[in-house]
Amino acid sequence: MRFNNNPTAVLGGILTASMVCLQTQAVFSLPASQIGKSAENFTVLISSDYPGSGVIIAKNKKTYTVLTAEHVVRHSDFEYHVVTQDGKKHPVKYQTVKKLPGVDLAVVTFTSDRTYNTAKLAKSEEAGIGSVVYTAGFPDPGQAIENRIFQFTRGEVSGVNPNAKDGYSLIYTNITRKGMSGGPVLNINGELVGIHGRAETDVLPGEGNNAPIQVKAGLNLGIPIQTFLALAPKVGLKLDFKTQPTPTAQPPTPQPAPTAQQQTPSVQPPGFQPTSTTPSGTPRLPSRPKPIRPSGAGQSPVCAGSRC
Amino acid sequence: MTFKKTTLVGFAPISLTLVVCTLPADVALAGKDDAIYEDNLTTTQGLQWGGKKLPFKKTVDIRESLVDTPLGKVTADRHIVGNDLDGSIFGRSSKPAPGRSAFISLWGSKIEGCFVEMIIQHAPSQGRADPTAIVPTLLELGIGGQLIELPPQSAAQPKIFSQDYSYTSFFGNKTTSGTWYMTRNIFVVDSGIAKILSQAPIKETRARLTLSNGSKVLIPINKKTVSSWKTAYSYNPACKDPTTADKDPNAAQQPAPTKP
Repeated sequence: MRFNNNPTAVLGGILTASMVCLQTQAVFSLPASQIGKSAENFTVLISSDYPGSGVIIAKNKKTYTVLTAEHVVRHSDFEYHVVTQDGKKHPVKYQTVKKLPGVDLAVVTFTSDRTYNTAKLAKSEEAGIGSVVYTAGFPDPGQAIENRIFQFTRGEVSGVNPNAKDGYSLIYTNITRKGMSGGPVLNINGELVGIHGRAETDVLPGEGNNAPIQVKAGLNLGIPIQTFLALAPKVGLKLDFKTQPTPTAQPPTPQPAPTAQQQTPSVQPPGFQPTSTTPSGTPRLPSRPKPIRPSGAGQSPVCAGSRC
Repeated sequence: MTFKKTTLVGFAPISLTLVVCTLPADVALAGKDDAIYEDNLTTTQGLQWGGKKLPFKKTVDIRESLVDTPLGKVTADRHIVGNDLDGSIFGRSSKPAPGRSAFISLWGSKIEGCFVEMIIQHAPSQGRADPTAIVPTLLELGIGGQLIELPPQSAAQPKIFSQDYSYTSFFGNKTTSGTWYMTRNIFVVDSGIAKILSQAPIKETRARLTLSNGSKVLIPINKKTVSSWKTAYSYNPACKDPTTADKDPNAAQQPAPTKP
């Protein structure tokens, strides 16, 4: 693995001998095309019933470490595979999944004889308001893009919220879509400044008896990489830095539960409910799923046969 | 997984007019196993027990019965429960037997729009039953963590059918006679629902039917049927009749097929 001339850090313990580059300062910016090409090499699809994305952040012999959003790998009864840029599907042993406390982050591992690139980690505070950032991942197919392909989008950091829920303090304007959760947020040097996983939404009233509709508001949220570095030792990811970084980001502190008036709709797609706890430590109960109803009632009956 | 079977037995006797099931002549689509005539999908006059010759777990074209014009795509699913000693062991569940129930569903899109049709066939364990109690009135699906709720296309009371049958046990030592009943309903599918179904995770999916007597029945939808939804709803993903859509200024401008 090449480290250029930048200070480096080594993830030890579980990640013994895994190498992670920590960029201390931005020396120059790379062309977006180069960052995109690089991102395509270390961004992975995490396939399951609810697919998401992830970032290869370290390698130890044949074992690769992938950082993703916790909600991407939440369900222990699902089968997860890491799909690398060469299309290979690498099974994930769920018992190796490590979830970071209080934030929507998790680490999974896979083994392979093949060589894959790893992302370089940056200090998240370098992505200040107004900074250009890139997001990447494998969004769900839609009406026009009918297959799941790698996407790389550009935007700017629009805000930083130190009191954010689940660690989502980095706010940016990039276009994202369901399925990109767990993917990288990169700075202009192509360094990993965060993990994408959430979108701000507005709620529009449903027509008639239909349930309210969640609409993305345009702003998206990520968890700074420094939050991960600060929390990693708590789940046995012992970090041994060759050059000690000066993390300023603190693990998120629990926030009081919002009042009914303050409560904004969550940002996750259906099925991805947060597992955060209330200040008293009791798990927040999931809400009963709201049914999705069709709006096409009233037209002539349609059935398979010639008469309905 | 445990399914509630007891909801289908023990109906209170209520007088009603029953339409005797008359089965349409079955005209096969020569040399085609990837297509079915539209008339062979018509269930308004009843349907053979178990929905024989329906396109189970695969998507086929719906063709106009006289001129072969493509009209849409459909896939079917079937779940049979009940007195299944010889049914499951000897594969005879395609015949009615006391205590046996069949849940048949048709999923797809046609020129006129999209649909889910649910058909319940039930042979009481003994005696007669009240088929008005087992009309499906609401269909719910759990897909990818989302709860989908599909109301009937029409509020009108669907027709009810009955058919006498005789049943000989596998060992041939006992023959019983009985009556089995059939109810059906068609549920609304719009473009949003069709999209959700088309993108459903490919695995066995659960559906919950609410019956006219208020009871609820859980039925599994086969994994292959779920995987067939994508093609079944691909024919008319907008789920709109183009003749209606033409009048709608907001309708998609993509040309849609027309019926001959």
